[in-house]
Amino acid sequence: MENKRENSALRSYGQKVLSRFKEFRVSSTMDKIKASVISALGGILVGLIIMMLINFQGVIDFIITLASGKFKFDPNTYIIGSIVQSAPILIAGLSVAFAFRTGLFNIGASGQILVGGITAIYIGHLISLPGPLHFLVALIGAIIAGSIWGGITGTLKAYFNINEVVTSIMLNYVAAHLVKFLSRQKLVFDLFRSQTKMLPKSATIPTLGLDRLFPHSGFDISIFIAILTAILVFIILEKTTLGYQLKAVGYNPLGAKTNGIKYRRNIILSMLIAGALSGLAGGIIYLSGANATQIRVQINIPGEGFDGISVALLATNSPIGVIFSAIFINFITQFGSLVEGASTFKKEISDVIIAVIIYFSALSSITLYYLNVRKRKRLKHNSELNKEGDE
Amino acid sequence: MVEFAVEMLNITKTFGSLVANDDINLQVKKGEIHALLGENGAGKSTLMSILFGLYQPDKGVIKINGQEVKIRNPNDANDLGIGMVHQHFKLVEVFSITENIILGSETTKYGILDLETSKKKIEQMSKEYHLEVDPNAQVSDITVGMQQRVEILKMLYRKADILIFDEPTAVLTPQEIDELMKIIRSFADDGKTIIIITHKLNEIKQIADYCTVLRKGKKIATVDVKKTDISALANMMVGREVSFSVEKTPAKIEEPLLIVENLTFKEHKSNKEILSNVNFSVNKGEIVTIAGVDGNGQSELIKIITGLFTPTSGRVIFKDTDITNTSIIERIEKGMGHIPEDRQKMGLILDYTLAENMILNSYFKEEFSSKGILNKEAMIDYTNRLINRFDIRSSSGSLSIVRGMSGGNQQKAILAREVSRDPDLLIAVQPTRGLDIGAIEYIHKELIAHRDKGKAVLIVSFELDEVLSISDRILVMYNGEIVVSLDASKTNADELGLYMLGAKRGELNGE
Ligand SMILES: Nc1ncnc2c1ncn2[C@@H]1O[C@H](COP(=O)(O)OP(=O)(O)OP(=O)(O)O)[C@@H](O)[C@H]1O
Ligand SMILES: [Mg+2]
Repeated sequence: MENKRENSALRSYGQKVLSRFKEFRVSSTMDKIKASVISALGGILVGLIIMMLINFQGVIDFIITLASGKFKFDPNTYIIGSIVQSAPILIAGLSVAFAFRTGLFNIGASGQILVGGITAIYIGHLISLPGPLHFLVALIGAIIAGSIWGGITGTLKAYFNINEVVTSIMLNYVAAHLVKFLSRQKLVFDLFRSQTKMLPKSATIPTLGLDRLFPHSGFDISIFIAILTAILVFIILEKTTLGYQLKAVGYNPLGAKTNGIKYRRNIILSMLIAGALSGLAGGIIYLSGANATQIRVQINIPGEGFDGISVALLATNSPIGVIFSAIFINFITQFGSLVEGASTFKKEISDVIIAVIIYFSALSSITLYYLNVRKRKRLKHNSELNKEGDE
Repeated sequence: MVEFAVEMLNITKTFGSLVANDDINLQVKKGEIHALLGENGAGKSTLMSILFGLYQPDKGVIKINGQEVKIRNPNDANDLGIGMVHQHFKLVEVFSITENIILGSETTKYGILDLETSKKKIEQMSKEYHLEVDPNAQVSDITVGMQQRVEILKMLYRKADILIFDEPTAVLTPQEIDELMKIIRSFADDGKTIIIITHKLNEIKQIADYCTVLRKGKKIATVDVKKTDISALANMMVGREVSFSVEKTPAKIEEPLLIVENLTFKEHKSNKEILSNVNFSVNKGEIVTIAGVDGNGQSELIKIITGLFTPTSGRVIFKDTDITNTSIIERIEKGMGHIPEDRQKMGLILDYTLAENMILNSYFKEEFSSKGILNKEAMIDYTNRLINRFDIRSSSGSLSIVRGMSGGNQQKAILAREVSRDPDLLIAVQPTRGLDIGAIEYIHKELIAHRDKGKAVLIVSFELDEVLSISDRILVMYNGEIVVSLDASKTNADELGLYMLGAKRGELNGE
């Protein structure tokens, strides 16, 4: 009895969430943008209030320190840096958003990132090739590895109807242990620093001199790769027959199946693509030269995969929206370091703000609803499609 | 002065540029059964959704029992004693019947759901109103008939006394319809006020006191049903003469196109035999209808022929090849068209536009895409042609999101998609479900024209009138078997009825 009640509470929660997502589908682009902006601003506002509540003096100190000029605000670090270093979470966000649009919740981006990353590292150390070619090969290796990792989840869902959330979470841990093992092999491991060896320059992301143009910004071409990828994902989803099929399966699996669209094939394809995107993010993370991330000894599930969920949610799963939401979320993260440098706050305060923003965007259908109510009062007529889930 | 239970005065509602309700007046007395009649897309569901608080009118006043009220949402409607059974049921599939009925007005004990008490109450109500349901069953496992009874109980559980039924009979079998009519009558006798939307004129004649006719969003008239005959109602509704009889020449039967051999199907979970050794064929140039009470294996049979299910044993042969194990898309490509039983769950992607739905099984064709890129203009052109040919009405033409289209127009969209692909074998389950009489007349003509082109048509229908008027040959299914094959011109409703209820078995002539 107890159990059953719990189940039904869970189920009804699931239903509610689902009906919220249905509402997303029918609201206009403009409304979605508005809802995202409102979530972002609301999050910042509430975040600041929280900051003041927990440490009012800290906020004052922060403002004074900034105003007094004692703390040197370096725009290259905080502004350019925020933008150009958002590439990993941008691409991870694309992975999550893509899966979402096709009806799947890819919570396994982190695992796919890791698997992609270790593949890139191995290619970086094992093969010797000239300049950008080496990097390109490593990146493609990462994409393929991530894709395979995502494909496992897709296959399990397609053939055995195992929920993708469960498998992709578990595969995160499998990936973490596998990568831990692989990263400690002599070939790639740096015993003194207890982490993977520095990659040869030929395998790192080309910077085209941008890092010298904007010192301390960590500028390389990854942000361009990310934006191009976003455009590519947009085209796949909106313009191609592939995207058409995948979304049809996502919206209504039985309807798609009845009309001859291959359900299993599309589920697997969708996860292959989502995995490939995460793998790409992994490549970008572990191949970056100047501020390279190395794989360390302790098991670590990279946060970028989860940030990707936030990024996708804030962008209401629009690939173009993901570009902006990724940069924005990265700004907030950078803001954390800024605050830490200039006051007694710890940089984790940015996580608090991001969390609030995510709550806001998870509730954005409510925001949308109120937008509509207002509009209705103004225009006196409006499509009220998004009320369907409300009775 | 008479006291009205429901008064809707000067109601106007627009969706974008479409006027769904245009200055409509509707007055219903307490204890009255009031029918709402009109073509597909005339605005019936919209008007009732306004009364139920799902939509807000742009203009107009609603009075309940003489009091002016504002119904902002379904909760307000509940508080005013208004209940509604929607055209497409709104039950939570993974919930039990009890959970569904109490959803939103749960009984709690110390803040915890008290399912036991609710269950007892539901059992008692179910007896009292003769609405047989199993409170423990999960909605995804029950028949449409039972789902509807759940929806009705849901209204009664909330003590509604103004009951709205939106096309309640569209999904029911004739037996269930009779049952429902009795129940509705008894509600009215208890003093409940009833508004019922239906496209079936004989039902209006049988049960309603008054009937309000809508056409293209406008109210045409409210008439006393006893003083109006069926053809007058029909004329008022479509604005022209409607012929009720289907005209067709004798079939020119050619060679068999579809052959079903020794088909047996067992359900996976229960291992129950749903189909036992089914044999029949459909020839080019004829319309074959499978008649029978719902739930005798028709649904499974069609799913096997169209590729959604795999049979336990037996073969399906289409155009001389064994297709028992081929994919759905191969069957479609080979010349099969399918109008499925559930238009919303199987026929359409509700969140796609009309244009996107029209190419659902041909998007990969050269006409609509090249090198993997969709050709949106071609899609829209094609859709516009179908919209004209099949008179599909919606708010934004080919770009309307299908979810916002009226039920009948959703059905027309599927028909248009399948018929226009010109399949050699057209399989249609309840093809005219939810259509207005004008549209039914048109669809019947299309099906016959399809046959006359030398194509084969296989129909599943629960409506005897339709079965008798459109078929060349009738197969009756009972308990997973085809019990008889009849020449449609040499049988009648009574004889069919005997076979359908299993009281008689016959020859499978020609099989
Ligand atoms: N939410 C909506 N958004 C846009 N258009 C809508 C919406 N709801 C209804 N419409 C349009 O309003 C018109 C009337 O629809 P309604 O559902 O009331 O028709 P109906 O009379 O119930 O038809 P049917 O007999 O086919 O069920 C249709 O053209 C439909 O496309
Ligand atoms: Mg309707």
